[in-house]
Amino acid sequence: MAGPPLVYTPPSYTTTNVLYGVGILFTAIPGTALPSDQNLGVASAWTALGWAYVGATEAGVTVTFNPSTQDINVEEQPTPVAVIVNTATLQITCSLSEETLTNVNLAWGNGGSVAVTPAGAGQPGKSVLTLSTNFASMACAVIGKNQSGFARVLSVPSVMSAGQVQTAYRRAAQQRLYPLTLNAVCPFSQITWTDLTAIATS
Amino acid sequence: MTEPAQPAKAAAAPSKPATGPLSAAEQDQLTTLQARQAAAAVAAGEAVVMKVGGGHESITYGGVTVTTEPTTVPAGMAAALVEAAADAGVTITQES
Repeated sequence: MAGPPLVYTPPSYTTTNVLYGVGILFTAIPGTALPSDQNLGVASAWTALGWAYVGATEAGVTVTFNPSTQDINVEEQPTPVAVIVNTATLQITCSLSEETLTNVNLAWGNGGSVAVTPAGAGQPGKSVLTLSTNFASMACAVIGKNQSGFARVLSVPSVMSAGQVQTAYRRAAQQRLYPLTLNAVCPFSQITWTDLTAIATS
Repeated sequence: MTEPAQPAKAAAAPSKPATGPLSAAEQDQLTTLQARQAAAAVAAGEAVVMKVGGGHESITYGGVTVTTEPTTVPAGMAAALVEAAADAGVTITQES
């Protein structure tokens, strides 16, 4: 007599958890407050507090977490008995499509200053970016939309812009781009993801 | 016949958090609060007041813009701003 049938029942998955869509990158001086929870998805709430939007990008914003690990091995076992995090980096990268002096400075280390001279008699109005290798740290936040349609915010209280920047001046092939690489320089415990899950009850 | 007392509608209705862009009144209120916050920060030594001169309209460094009007700046950025202004040939003064 045959036993019970062998059943194959894989778990179901949630297609609504598969998310896509652009991330919005804001920067600010370190210590700048985040908007209230109610306003995390409201752009004007960010800018009112001093956050600056980087503008259009070539291919969106990319967040890269890259830990390097050290295996702890013993002779008696072929696999490690523990894997310890040796170093870990968090980078937020994008290619800035809006060529403003602010964005050029941001990509080039955020160490320069922009001095503005107003137009006057015999003096055209001008802005001068003076570069520096004294890179200034800043705060950054990436805002995306979650599966509920609300804001999901990655907040990094301190980052430094340090990456190779190569800009091609082409007649028609593409716009001038400024690759931006923001490296987290704060403890990981200060980095947060905030996910709005439901509207306030009152 | 007496009717039961009705609860006051205003007291019972919970206030709903506002959404969307700020109104003109809210913007004014925000500006006032930020000015008060800036003054308190200066008084506590957490911020200083700086301004630019010498024919320049403003200088921006590290996300902070100092104009010809007295501008509140985080105290920790004052020295870096002075250095950046010197590099750029901009006259900057600290008022407090």
